[in-house]
Amino acid sequence: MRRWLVLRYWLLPEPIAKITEAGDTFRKGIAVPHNHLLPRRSALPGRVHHGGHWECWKCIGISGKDGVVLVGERKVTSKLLQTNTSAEKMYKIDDHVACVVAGIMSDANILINTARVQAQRYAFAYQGPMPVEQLVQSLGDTKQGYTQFGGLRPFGVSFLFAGWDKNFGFQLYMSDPSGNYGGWKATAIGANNQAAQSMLKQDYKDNITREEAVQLALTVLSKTMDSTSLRSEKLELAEVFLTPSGKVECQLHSPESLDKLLVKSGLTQPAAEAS
Amino acid sequence: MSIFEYNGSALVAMVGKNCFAIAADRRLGVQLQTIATDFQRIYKMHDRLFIGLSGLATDAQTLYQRLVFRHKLYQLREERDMKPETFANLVSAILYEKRFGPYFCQPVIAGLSDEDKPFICTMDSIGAKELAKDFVVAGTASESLYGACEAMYKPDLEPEELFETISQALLASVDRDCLSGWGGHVYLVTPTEIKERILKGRMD
Amino acid sequence: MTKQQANWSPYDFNGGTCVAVAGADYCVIAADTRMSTGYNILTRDYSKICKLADKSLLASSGFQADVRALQKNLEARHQIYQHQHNKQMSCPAMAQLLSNTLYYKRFFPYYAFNVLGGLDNEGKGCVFTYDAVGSYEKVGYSSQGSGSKLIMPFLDNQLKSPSPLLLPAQDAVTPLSELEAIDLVKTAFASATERDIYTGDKLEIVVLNREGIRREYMELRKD
Repeated sequence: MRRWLVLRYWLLPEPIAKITEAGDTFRKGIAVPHNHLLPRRSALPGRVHHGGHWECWKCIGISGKDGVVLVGERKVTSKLLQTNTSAEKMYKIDDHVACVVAGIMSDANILINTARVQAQRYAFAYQGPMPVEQLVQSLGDTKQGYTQFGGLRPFGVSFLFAGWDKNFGFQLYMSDPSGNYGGWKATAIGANNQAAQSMLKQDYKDNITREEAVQLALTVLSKTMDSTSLRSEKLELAEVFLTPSGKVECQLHSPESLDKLLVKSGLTQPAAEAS
Repeated sequence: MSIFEYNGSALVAMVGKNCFAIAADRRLGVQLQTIATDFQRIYKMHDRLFIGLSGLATDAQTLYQRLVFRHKLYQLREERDMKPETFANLVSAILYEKRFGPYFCQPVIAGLSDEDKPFICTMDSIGAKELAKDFVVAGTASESLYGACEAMYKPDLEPEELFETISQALLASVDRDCLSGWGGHVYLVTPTEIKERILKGRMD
Repeated sequence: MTKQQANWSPYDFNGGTCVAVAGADYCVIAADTRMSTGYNILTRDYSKICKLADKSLLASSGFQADVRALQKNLEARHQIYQHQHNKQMSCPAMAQLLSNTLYYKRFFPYYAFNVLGGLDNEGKGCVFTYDAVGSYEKVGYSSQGSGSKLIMPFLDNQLKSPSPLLLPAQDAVTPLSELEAIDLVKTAFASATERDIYTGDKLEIVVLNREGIRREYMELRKD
């Protein structure tokens, strides 16, 4: 398996070079052919290759006392792009864990699949949901392997994981390409994440409710986004919460419910909206 | 003594008008001794797909857990539920993987396919599918079930009539089989609801 | 060299299914008319029902050579009974005789699965069901043969017999009318024919009531 992976990555085309040029994180610590590994920064990837255009993606996660909220920016680069109904960067890992992605999408797909299979393997062996931290750690271990062994390049992906388990309740984790991860009350990844983080530091309060968290996330996102006003097609919003019957649910908001939320938070005009 | 007759089981699924019913007995035994009288043989994969597993109970449980694994991954990747025909093919493939050391199970799959068309099928322990338009049976009481179903079944039964028919067929058949019985578990599924009912039968 | 094993068997299996249902004043005995061996059909027109006495009919499936020998034996014994007692044997008496005859060959049995049907001395229907070595029981209905496992649950469901353990002993005969019982038997055979390869071709139904004996036939699937 290792040998196969090495062969595969040696055939990788140009994008690696581009990443090392433009991405500030990737210049440090990429496994270049002469294996010059440098310590990594924990800053997250901002610029990524997407369909031939450089894009900035941004995601925010906020953990509250009755739920965790993940918000992601959906950048529509071209009118020709097929924007299907399914989420672009929000992924469900299992019934009780969802995540949002920033970075190289193709690398992300591999890791998402790995995470899903790991969660199911645990569920098969122990007949119960995998604890969130164990899942994040296991994925982190996978990522770490690519920084130490094999001469392969690391995954260019950062995640925000949101989940619930019966040991620690609602949790939010951030993990980066080095495999490092941390538990957060609120955090942001992607472009302008420092601005978003400082805004969150000011406005976040402990025991924030789910509704307040949604409001805060939308507010912070709109302030740090490039465009003037928020519309539902520019966003993705997912919430992890407990239903009244006690079951965990990850819900991705539909465009209609997002519109309603945006109007409620005063971030967009109802009906006749500014373009 | 056949390994398929170690635990004892009776399973039947029938097609009605835009609905299906799947029923099983509730006994779990170790040869002659009854161990449990509320054993679950029918599992819900999603709101429109059920699978019943007869035969060796441990293999039935493990097979079900493996199917949950595969189905959950499918749901996460495809962002939709699996169609019954697809699921049947998955079960068949998983069983055939163990061609020379099989799971000692005979599954009965029942679901609502596209346009709410009911779908039932059964297969042997190495994955040979049998698609039927009327009913399928499995378990130690399968011969009795064949006879009872063949005599009582009529096509295009309404949900309530279908429930009566399948219940009568199940109870009559398990009463002639010492390894299955202790009541019945019937699921009656229409496009709008799932009704689960427990039947009281002979407790022997 | 592996141990040599004898592979000649004195028995063969000719298939077929027999059913009998007892009513208040009638008895219906039915059997299919297919005789087969292995996957081949020997004939589509073989009667498995034999009249032993005025009020007793025997239907047997299994190995037809043994069945034929058993029938001849019982007919002969009935002749002797008639000479000695100057009357026909009653059905319960024939039932006991059949049981004894079968047990006589306990260590080389008749490979015959029997159902004896008839009217008892009061004119009520009675059905006796047997295993190969003579264990018998008076019941309200029974089926024997390759399709019996398919038919019995259906008859149980339709004819709801009371438990034989009840005290006082309850009547096992069905309250159904003669025509309803015949219809039931036809349905049972049609279903068994679908799922049992040894059952089919034609159904022979013999009805015994106070007027006498009546025979009718119904076509079954020939595949």
